[in-house]
Amino acid sequence: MGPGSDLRATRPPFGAVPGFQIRYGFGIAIALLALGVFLTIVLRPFPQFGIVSAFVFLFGIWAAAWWGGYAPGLLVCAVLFFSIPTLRAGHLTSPGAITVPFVSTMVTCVLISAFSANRMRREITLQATNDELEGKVRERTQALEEVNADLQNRLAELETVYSELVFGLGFVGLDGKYLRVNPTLASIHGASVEAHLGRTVREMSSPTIAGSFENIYRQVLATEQPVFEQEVQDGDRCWSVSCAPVRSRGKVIGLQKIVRETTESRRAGKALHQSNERLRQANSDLEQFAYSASHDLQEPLRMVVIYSQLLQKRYSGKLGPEGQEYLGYAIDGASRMSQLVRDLLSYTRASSSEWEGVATIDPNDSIDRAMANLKVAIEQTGAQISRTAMPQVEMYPAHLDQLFQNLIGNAIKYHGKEPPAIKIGAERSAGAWLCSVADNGIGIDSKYKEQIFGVFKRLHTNAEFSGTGIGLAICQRILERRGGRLWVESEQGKGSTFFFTLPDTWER
Amino acid sequence: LNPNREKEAPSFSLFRTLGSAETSGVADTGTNILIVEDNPADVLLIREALEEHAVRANVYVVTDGEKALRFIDAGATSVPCPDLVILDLNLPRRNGREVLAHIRASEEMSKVSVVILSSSDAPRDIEETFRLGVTQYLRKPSTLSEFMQIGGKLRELLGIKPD
Repeated sequence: MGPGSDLRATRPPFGAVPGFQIRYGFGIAIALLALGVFLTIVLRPFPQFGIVSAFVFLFGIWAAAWWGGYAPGLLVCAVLFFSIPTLRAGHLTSPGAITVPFVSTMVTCVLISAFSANRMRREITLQATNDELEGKVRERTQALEEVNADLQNRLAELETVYSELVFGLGFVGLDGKYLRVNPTLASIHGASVEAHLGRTVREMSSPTIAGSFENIYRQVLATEQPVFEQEVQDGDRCWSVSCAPVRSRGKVIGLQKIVRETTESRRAGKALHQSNERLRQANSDLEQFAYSASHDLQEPLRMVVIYSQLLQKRYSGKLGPEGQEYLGYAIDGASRMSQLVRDLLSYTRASSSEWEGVATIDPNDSIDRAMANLKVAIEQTGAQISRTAMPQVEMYPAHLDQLFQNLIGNAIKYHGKEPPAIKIGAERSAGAWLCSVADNGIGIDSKYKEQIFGVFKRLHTNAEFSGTGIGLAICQRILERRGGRLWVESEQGKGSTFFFTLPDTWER
Repeated sequence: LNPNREKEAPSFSLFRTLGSAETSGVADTGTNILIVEDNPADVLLIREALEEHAVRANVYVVTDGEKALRFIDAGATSVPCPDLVILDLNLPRRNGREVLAHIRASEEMSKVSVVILSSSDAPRDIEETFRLGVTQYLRKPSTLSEFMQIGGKLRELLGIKPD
């Protein structure tokens, strides 16, 4: 039996003695008794030494009681007191003479056993407590070691982040002196990390920007609020500085600053802005050019058309049939070109933002105006036009008119055998109004679904359906300008539905 | 008062023609129309349109903005005050807007009907001329028949009842 866990866990009962100790106790007692017997026999011729064996016996009894407890103590005591007279032969033979030492030795045995047991009990308890404590200490030590290792790892990670950070990072005390800087900040300042410690911000920064830095620090200290992304320029190079107070127990004890070089991004941003500006200018020039060109082209064409018509009206008799035919072609060509130029003009206007002011408009008014303009076509074809409730939208009024006029006009123009039935609708869809103009017309082959939105793109000859092919291109340009989209879903022979979106938010 | 009035008056009567009055054989009908237009082809078409609708009038033509201003300043001293002004917007030297503003600011012609006949249909032009007090804004049509219809509109403006 060893110092098992049961011993540690429970306090042993009073007087209980572990088995191994009983065995030792018996062993020692028997050895001492054997020594006593030996000495008694050996010292028999020398009665003056008889007391020695008596002490050896007594010591044996006490040892048995101390080490083995009550039972071995009492047993040894009884055996001795009854065997000694025999051994001594004549010494202490009377029962009266033996009783007093016997009883006193017995009592001594019991007391020694009791003291021994109590001592052992305490020892065992102490041992258990000790073991328990040692276990706890081991556990704590292990836990501490783990925590320590974890902390070391984290510290190493932080240290890596700190030293590898591409941004300059520094801590500055209230006296304006650097407490810590990372290598990036040090290299920005062109000095070693060590050279920064204890030196002021002014000492370490370039003289041209030291003032700017100090102003930022002063502001942060005065307001105790962080300052973000302050641009500081030093010659050709630009820096973005963010600075925030460092607090300990609610008190500002210093500043942290992050410095990021923005030279490249600023240069890129500037270049982007410039090229954007150039593009905008070029676009505006192009629009102006297209407008002027189409307007100036329009004028001579108008003369050609009208005077050819005047010629036809006044002198057709003198031209003969062939001459009349030629003149007819000339007028057709000129009229068509005139129409193309006019359409081109409308197309360039469709994206012009300075055309008119944006207003919140009721699409119903636009549809009404479109229908009024298409009155003749509607009457001729017997078109039925229905609409759902339309939302108020923000747009250039002329653009919405044009949009509906083109889409409704197409729905009427490209009708099938049945009279056109056109449905105009609007519904909410992902932050936008999704409007639709559906017809029961001839439909569009899916392979032309993209082509129809091109400028002057047509799927039919002039003899089949008249037109220049600008309408949908204008619609698309208007919607692009409005931040929306235009597309068609159609099946040949089964009608088409044109959808367009008008987002709630758009760039004017 | 402008002392140059008398001297300058003949310069804008250079273009003075009798228009439909001439064709109908009546020398002076009492109706006067001023055309401010630099394109002779358009002037001819306006005449045709007037003729088409049997508008008999003395037609005065000036071919640039500067001359138009002088015509207006001259007032009734050199030529009769027109009953109708047909004004192009895109004119040499002074544009139609300036001429229109000058007409509305003048003493004698401020109440005269002014029709803009321009190839522009830009809303900006339309709005501006209406703000300046134009009577009617007409876009130069691109077909003969449409152009001829203008004659009818001018006839209405002049208050001539259909025959």
